Amino acid sequence: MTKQRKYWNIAKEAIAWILSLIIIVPFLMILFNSFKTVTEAATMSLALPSKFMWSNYAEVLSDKRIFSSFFNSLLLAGVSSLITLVVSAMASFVLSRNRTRANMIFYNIFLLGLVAPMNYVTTMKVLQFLNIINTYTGAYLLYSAMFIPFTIFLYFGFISSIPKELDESAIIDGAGGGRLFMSIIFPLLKPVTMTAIIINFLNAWNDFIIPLYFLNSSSKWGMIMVMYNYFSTYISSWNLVSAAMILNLLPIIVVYAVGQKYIISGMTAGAVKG
Amino acid sequence: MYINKIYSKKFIWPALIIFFVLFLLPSLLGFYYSLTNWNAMSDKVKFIGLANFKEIFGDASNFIFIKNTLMYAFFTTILKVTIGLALALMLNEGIKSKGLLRTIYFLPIIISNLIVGLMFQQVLHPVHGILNTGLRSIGLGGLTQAWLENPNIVMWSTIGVEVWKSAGFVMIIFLAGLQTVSKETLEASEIDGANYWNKLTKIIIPSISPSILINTLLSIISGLKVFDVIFALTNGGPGRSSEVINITVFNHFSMGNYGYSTALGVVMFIFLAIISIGIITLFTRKDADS
Repeated sequence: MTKQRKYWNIAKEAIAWILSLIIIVPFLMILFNSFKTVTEAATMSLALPSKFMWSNYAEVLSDKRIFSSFFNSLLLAGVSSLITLVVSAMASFVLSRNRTRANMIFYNIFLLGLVAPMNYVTTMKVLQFLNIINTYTGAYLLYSAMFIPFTIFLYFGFISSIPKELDESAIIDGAGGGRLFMSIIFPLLKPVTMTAIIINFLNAWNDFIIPLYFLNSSSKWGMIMVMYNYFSTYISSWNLVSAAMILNLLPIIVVYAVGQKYIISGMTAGAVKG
Repeated sequence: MYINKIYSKKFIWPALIIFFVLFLLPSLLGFYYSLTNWNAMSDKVKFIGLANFKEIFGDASNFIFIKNTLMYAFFTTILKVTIGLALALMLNEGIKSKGLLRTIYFLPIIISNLIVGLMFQQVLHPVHGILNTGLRSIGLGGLTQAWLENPNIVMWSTIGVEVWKSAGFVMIIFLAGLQTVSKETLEASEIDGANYWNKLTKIIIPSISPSILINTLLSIISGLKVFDVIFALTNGGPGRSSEVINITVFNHFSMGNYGYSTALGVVMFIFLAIISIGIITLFTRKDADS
């Protein structure tokens, strides 16, 4: 019985690794193609490059836009996730602690944002009216509006699990709402804060719908948009496009490697509570 | 009184204002502008009643994107939930390299859809793509297809890419759900002679029904809202054969048909609002039970 189970587990592990190739192989293909010559890359095969063309990367990097777009992405993703974090933590604190009828209605309105689609066309109208179309301010606020529902959902659940006695003792010591939030509650939210900041950062970094609709000047684009533009320009040079894709993947993979624990805990939070 | 002063509403305002002005307000405005002829050509916005909606549902050629959107949402959901559950059951126990495998399966979900799209343009290339060359090399040359060029197949290819990208996410949620299955019950059933199929259908699946619900709803919602995977992969082509509603919205937006485009957005909003109200009632009912 146990021996049979042991063999079964070994077989299962082997199958799992074979299946993982379905995920790995496309990435390997891009990696290999990024080192090939134009003609070799055109065959898109999985063969190793006959000669490693580091010059592909040199050529992609010689385009100064890659660097400026990296910092644009950093700015867009960083500021948006920071704004989202601060306003969502504050709102969840009150929504979770003071469950009046009005606050529950607000909470449900926020939850609606988890599923409702954004209306891009009329969003343009609002951005024009506020005079923030085609600006970073507009993009930061739009990303925040998109991420607030999920972030509030995360914080709301977590704050509910913090004992209310902590609040009471702080209030007896004379702390007001602001002090209570800043020095008692917010520090305790660190795990969710990490999760929220990483997931929102990645989502903003990977997004290209907002720039596609609302950021027309290419000097403001982040890495993903510049890569897409690069692809349209060098459509027949798959080696260069692949190198640009690898350069795009690097920062995301680094964030994933560092923050995997937080990403997974955040994404499963909803299901476990479900 | 005192409570309302400590937990003051002023903490809620910043989030609520940003969310209201840039998310809810545009959706509400959408209801008005969908009834107008708002477009890039003229400054005057004229009220035209339901003409946009009549145009959307009266034009038989539009059935393609309605059909494609529903087909995409339906089949990606079925495939993602089945494959995600199978992967989770496989990884759940008895596998030493579980952590590493989980990392690999989950990897595609954090990659930009634009990169995924460009990557699969290469993988699915009819002549050189590794899918077709792979099929040929194992003697299945008969199965090779023009994956992105054949109008009858292209939707299935986009569905396949979405499953490739998101099955790992579904798996992660199932893995979390599987931790709640009672080990004692499983062991007791084994003593009673239950085989794997009995355990799966009688014990495991009923215990993880919350995760099944979440995965199904999330997949349906993201399926109906799909834009970027298809935009990067085919941009709705060839012709309109892989066009989904959000691609149509964007195309009409680019052409300056703002009123028409808004009406399409409203159709999608109503559709998803019905589903989301369903979800919220399910959630709150569960809270009331426990």
